[in-house]
Amino acid sequence: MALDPDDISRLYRAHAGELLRFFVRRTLQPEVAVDLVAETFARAFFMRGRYRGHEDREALGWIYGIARHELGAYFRQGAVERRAMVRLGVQLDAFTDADYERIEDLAGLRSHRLAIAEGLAALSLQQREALRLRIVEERSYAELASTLGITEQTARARVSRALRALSKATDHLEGAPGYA
Amino acid sequence: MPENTDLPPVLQTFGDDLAAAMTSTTHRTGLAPLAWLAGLPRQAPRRFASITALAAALVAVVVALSLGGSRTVIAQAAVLERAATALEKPNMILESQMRFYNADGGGLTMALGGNGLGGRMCIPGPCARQAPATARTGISADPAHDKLTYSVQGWLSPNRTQAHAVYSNGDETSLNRTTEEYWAYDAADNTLTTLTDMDLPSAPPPPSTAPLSLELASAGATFGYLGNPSFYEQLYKDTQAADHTTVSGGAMSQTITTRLAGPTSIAGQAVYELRFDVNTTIRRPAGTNRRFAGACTATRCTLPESQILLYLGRQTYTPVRTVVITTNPHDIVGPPPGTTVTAVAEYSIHTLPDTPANQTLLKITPHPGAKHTQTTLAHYMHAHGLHIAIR
Repeated sequence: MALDPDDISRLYRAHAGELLRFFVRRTLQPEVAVDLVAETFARAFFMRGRYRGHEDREALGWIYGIARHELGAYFRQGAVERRAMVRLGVQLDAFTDADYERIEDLAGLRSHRLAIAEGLAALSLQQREALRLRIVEERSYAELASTLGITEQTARARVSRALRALSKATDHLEGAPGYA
Repeated sequence: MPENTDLPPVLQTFGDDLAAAMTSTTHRTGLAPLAWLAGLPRQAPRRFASITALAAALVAVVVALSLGGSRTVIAQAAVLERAATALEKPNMILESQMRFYNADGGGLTMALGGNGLGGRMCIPGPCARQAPATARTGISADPAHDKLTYSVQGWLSPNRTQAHAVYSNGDETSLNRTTEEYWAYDAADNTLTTLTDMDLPSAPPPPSTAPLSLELASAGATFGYLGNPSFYEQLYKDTQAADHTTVSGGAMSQTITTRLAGPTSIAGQAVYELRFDVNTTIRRPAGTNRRFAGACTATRCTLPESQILLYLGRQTYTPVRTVVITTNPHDIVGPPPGTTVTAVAEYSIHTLPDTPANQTLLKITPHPGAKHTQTTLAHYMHAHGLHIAIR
């Protein structure tokens, strides 16, 4: 049974929030996540004739299929595809502070941030500095080694240990690997 | 299904835009909602030919709707006598050239209610749609001031069983009702697709001097109308008296007002100007609660209004130009805000002798080296996830 535009609109109203959470937790970028939500539903509108399910849960699964496809394309291309939005003639408004705040609440980013801060605080100074240089400043391991006065192999081990400790500290968070 | 009220403002607004755009997409293209209202069959027998004449179809559908229903059929003898006009000579191949200027870059096949095919609106074959360039500002009513969106040249056999169209992007379509075959050439990837078992009627509905049947308003029949000045002459006569027709179907209600604006000229050619005002309301879409409050009551929303101007040659009664003017006071997504020209089409119609040389114009041009695939219509639709979307 094909979906009609009202069905898509209804699905959007009911599930855009959880889809936003899905995207935010995977991209950690509110603007990207919002773009992906919009493109997913715009694409669903154009593909609605291909839908063959009958129940809402099937429709939701179908929407998530499109969402995963969009997410994969984003990771491959480094940019959100906006073709369906353009075709439909809709565009997103500019982000406001209220948007950032709402998305942080919705995706639980504040609790994530707190947990990460606590995890970072639990690391040794050396590990934290190695992590900062590697993750935040995106330095190469050769640069890390030079800056910290250690071998490259030691730099790799230090970053690896820091990440493992941080991962353990955030294991309990929804959306983290292993979360059930 | 619960309503999600926790969305960030940007997605709340987008939700409103999305709901409105999903509705106005069909409205903008004109034909689809009218076709639905007209109760056109769910099968696609006439789809092929409509590709060449949708701008005219839009007018014809509106016209047919406006004339339909309670009005008496006036098969005037004078109109029939005009069948002597050059374009209605028997045994002539109809040649038409159409140039389209659209603010949204096309929408040609979308009007058929089609599904996206690889991001292009094709059913199957030609994709005349181009990137929108002026969607938010409209275009000029005078084509000389605008960039051509696309053009189509088409030919129709005297018995109307064969048709061929060539688009400005190099795409082509051709149809043979007798053999129930359809060809689509995609110039972008040099691919020729042949569809068989098209399940077509052996002949299209004959052009009528009294096109009051909504069935006849389908786009395929309109191709015939282009070569049938009697249709337009009758139309001219009917618009001499202003008329209102209200059509309701499902979630949509449409009022069409017709009138004859008077004689004028286009590029030195004497023409009549006919006007069709189309006002549409729809059942309020789910979730429309913010941006379009001005366009909606608690239960219904008013879509952007369209005024369609049809210019007919005073000597031949054939279409010379159509202009679609959209008024979008509430800036509903899709059409430009305010009152703007959103589409212009120009027509040039001739006849050719039915000679062997001219008969080659009715068939798809040979494309040596093109990749060729052949399948049945049913298999093609299934393989591409398509279905007849008139619903």
